[in-house]
Amino acid sequence: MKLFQKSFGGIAGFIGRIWRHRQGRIGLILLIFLSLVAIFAPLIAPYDPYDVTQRADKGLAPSLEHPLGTSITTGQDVFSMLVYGTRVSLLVGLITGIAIALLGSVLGVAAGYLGGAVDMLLMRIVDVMIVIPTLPLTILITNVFGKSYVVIVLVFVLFGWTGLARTVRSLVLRLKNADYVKSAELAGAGRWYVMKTHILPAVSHLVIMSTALSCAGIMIAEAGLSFLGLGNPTAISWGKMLADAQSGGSMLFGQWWTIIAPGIGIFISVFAFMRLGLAIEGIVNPCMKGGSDAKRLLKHIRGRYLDEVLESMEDGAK
Amino acid sequence: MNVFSVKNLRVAFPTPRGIIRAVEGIDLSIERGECLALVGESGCGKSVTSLASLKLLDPSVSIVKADEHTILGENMLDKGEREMESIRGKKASMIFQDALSALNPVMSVGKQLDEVFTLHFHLKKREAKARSIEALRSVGIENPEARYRAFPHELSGGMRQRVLIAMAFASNPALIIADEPTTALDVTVQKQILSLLSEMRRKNGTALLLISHDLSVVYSMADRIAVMYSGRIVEEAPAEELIRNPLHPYTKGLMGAVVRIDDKKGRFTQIPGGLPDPANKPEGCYFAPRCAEAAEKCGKCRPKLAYTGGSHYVRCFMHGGERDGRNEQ
Amino acid sequence: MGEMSNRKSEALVKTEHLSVRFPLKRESPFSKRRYVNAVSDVSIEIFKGEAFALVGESGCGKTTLADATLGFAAPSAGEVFFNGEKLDIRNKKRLKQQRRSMQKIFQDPASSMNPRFTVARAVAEPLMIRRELGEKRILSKTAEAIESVGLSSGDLDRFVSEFSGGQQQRIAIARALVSGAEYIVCDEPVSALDVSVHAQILNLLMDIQKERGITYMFISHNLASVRKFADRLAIMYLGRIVEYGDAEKVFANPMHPYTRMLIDSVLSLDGGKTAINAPPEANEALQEEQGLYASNDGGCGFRRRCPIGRSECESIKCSLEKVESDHYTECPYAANR
Repeated sequence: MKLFQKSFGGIAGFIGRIWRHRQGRIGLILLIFLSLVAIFAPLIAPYDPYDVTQRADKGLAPSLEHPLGTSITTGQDVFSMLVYGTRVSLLVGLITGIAIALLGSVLGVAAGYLGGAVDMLLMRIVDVMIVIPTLPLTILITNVFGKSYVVIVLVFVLFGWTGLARTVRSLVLRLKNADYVKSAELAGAGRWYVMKTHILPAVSHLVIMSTALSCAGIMIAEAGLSFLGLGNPTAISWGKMLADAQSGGSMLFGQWWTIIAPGIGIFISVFAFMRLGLAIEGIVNPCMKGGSDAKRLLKHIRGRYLDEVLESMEDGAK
Repeated sequence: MNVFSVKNLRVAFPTPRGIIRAVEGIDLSIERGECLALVGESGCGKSVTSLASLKLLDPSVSIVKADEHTILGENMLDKGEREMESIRGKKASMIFQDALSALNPVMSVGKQLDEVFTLHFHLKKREAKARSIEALRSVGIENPEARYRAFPHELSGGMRQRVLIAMAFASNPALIIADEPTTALDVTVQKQILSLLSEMRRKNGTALLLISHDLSVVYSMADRIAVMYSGRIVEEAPAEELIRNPLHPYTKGLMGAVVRIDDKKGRFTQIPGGLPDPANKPEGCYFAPRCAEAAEKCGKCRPKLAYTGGSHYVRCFMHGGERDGRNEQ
Repeated sequence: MGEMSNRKSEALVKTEHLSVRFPLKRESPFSKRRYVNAVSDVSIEIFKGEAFALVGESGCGKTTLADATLGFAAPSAGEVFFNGEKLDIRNKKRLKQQRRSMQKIFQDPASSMNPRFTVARAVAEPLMIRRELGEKRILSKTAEAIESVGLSSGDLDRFVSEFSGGQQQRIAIARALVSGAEYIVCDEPVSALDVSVHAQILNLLMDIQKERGITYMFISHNLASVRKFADRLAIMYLGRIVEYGDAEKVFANPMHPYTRMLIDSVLSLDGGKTAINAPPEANEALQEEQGLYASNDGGCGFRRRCPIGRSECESIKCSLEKVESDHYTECPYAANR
């Protein structure tokens, strides 16, 4: 029955609303572009940077053959590395982001809705996790378990779920005591119904928003780790490109393009996720965007219709 | 001399749904020591009027315009935010509905009172404290020395409202604007706060702009009552006259909504319909769609506020109102 | 309506020596847990088809008492009966069954319905939860309910948040009707609404009651509205019922000093002007402040605010005593004031 199904939710409807949001559209377009680059990397890149036989002289300047020159340490084509690097960055960002979203929301909902001992235990774990210094521990773990992306993703997830779990928990606590939940319970609704109809849809918006923002954070973190040499040494990622450029002394030789190229890659992807996150926030929290909208409208009115509006409100003398 | 006067006040808020015409050409003037009440429902523009009176509306989201705006004879129209700050609290102050959010939660009420004296009168800390304690005592707070150190959340709702009143009267302003000062309180406390307000006012000779949705609250305090509907004043008269001889159908409706304690069980007197959409108001008289007395022309053109004798003004075609010049066609 | 025959009909809701208490936050993990009694020793009966009003200041325990009759607050002592059967919070299955004939109309209609719902979904939710009817039946019942509260079935596919407060409250009433509730708690149903729609909503509630014989628990702090709306009432102060019985009898002959205080504090449009200018009582600030916190220290809870209080009130054990038929008060000194 259509009347009962229509709601703010619905994935298609949600994407549609992001699309109609100015910032959201920018984020969405960039993200689709990046995904296409990642999927069709072998078709776009002129060389296969993983293929040792396709290497040229080290530290070549940009030319028609090598649009962004070659790497200073290995002689790989920088443009091809940039294209292939999209795969690693995007994949790590998305997989970690989604894993954090799942873990964080499940544990957050469990803590908030079940309450009692479960809540107590989970929140104490969160408290402990928050005070642990992440970076030294990450270095330690990668040294012990080996430098692979699987380990890195697991470490990110391990430390990343706590913030989301806390926010989800407090949202659930608020919703659980909402008048409309009480009203549904009076109508005979059980726990599962309340969860499915009233709590999860509201939580899902929050989770989608925070996932978009956390993806951006993770991509920066991944680049940082690779730059520090903690990433998979055989994989090509933007962070590793930066590390190579640094260790080879690109700046010393004035080969700035080897640094700018991965930098732009990181910037675009983080920018895309940030836009997306902000757009979703604006959609879920309409009061946030109200301010800027009102100001824009006011400017518009000041410019053209001010006298007209004021005149229409005048009243005859007393 | 007028303590406060505003002529042709207009306030509009642009929203994505359209321009909300919150206040459409209101004239108000309050004499020294007089109490004017502005009565109307939520969304009628009464609170916006009160905020605009002290220039408290955010200019980045609102359009405010008036032909004249004076406090104690001083022109407010060209005053900047800096100058307004020294006027607010000193010459005119405000009492809000929700005392809990009007007070700073992390500062003791005494310290907040002190600020009035240190900021506006440049008193020393110790003198300010003595004055604050005196102010707390004057609003009937027992043991003011102890209450001076209390934080807002430690006080009951009625006590907090007393503190707000003490603050408003502290600088002995000529004008006080009270926006629904008793709405958040219990009925038994409401009457105490109202009598405190009227006593303080009489003692200090302060002019009061009292804003409320409840005619019965206003009636006990006001010298004059102005009834607002959808951004316009629909009737204004001395309090006794308005209650004894209400002309506008909306005023009559509001009076009917005041239930009397000696009424027997039975139906309530109701006004049909609801308030008009502020972004899309009706063509003619704003009240016409809900009005039992409405004639054909009420739906077509807007009536003006007309004098009916005895300083009684009404905006209604059925009661001697004329039509608003601009809508003649 | 035969008033007497109404009285003889059995009670729909009944509480016997009901107390509900909430734990206070402990000052340290070792200190003894302290409790605040939101409701103490309340015995009332609400008869089928009547409008029963619960009157008192904020924080007096009205909402907790109402929630206890809906099975939302666990009694620490005493019992609640619904339709002659005990309301047992632990028996979830039975409670679910019993709750099918209860609903609550909240003060703020905007928060009592999911803002993501369409009107149709908000109204039909009780039926959809039960899954007993087909979609066609649900839709026709929903449309019927929404029309019976004065909205049109064309409004069904709009979102609840698009409506004004008064209309939202109508939608909430439609929702209570569609679930077939026979007992509806109305928790200050108009205090969040515009004054000019108060009467509309209260009249609607009265009309519905006349048509369907619904029983209301009407929570309010406005005694004047209560007099017009209610058949019987209870005046509550600090968790206790201080006066109770037939509304007309209580208003005609208010016994408890608190009841009189409430009646006196109703503002009116006749002669109110002089009344308000009377000087305030000497220590009213103290009276008001002590209000909600001092309790359970023995004696009458109202004694510090009481104009007729005497030394015996410090240690008195209050209980409801009969004044006349269906009119009870806690104050033993009320009659010879």
